[in-house]
Amino acid sequence: MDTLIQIVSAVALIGGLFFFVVGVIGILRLPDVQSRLHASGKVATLGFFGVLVGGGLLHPEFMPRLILLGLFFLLSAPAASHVIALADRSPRAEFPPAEANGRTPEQDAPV
Amino acid sequence: MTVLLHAALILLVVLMLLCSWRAWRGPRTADRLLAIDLITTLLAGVMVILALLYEQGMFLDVALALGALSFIGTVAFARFFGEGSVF
Repeated sequence: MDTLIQIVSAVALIGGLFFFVVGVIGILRLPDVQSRLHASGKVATLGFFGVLVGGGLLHPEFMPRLILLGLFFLLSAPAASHVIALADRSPRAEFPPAEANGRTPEQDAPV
Repeated sequence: MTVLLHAALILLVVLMLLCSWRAWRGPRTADRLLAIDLITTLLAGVMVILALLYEQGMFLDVALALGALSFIGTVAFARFFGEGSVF
């Protein structure tokens, strides 16, 4: 039984780490702000929740604080993404100006 | 299990370095802010894994405080560069 719990929690941890890796690859490779926000949402919910589930199975005495952490990130991560997306749509968002170092945002965008 | 947790710590640090590349490169301010927000989420993951590794619940309080501060900081800075003032 003990080994079974360890195996399940290792699977949950590895799943969480997989979504961490996927989210960071998305941050590096996706073309614009909105799609990068979508990738970072995967990290904050799926990846972090995988780690929390794995930790709760491994050490049941941490369960209340892990649930509290999960609830807090469930509330705060979408709100932060929403605020970032709203701020990026405003006309003041291009700061410093696009030609600051001789490159336009379009030249930088596909990286 | 200890080996897995140590490997997870190393992986998370590498991911934080990759995120800091996006924070340095931009190109837009929202990209930098997004990358820094993601770094703090990864850091909260590091704190949870440290709590599991050393069996110390104190690290979970650290993760909670870090999450709260990073959320406030992200909202304040996003409103600052989007609307010109925090309040």
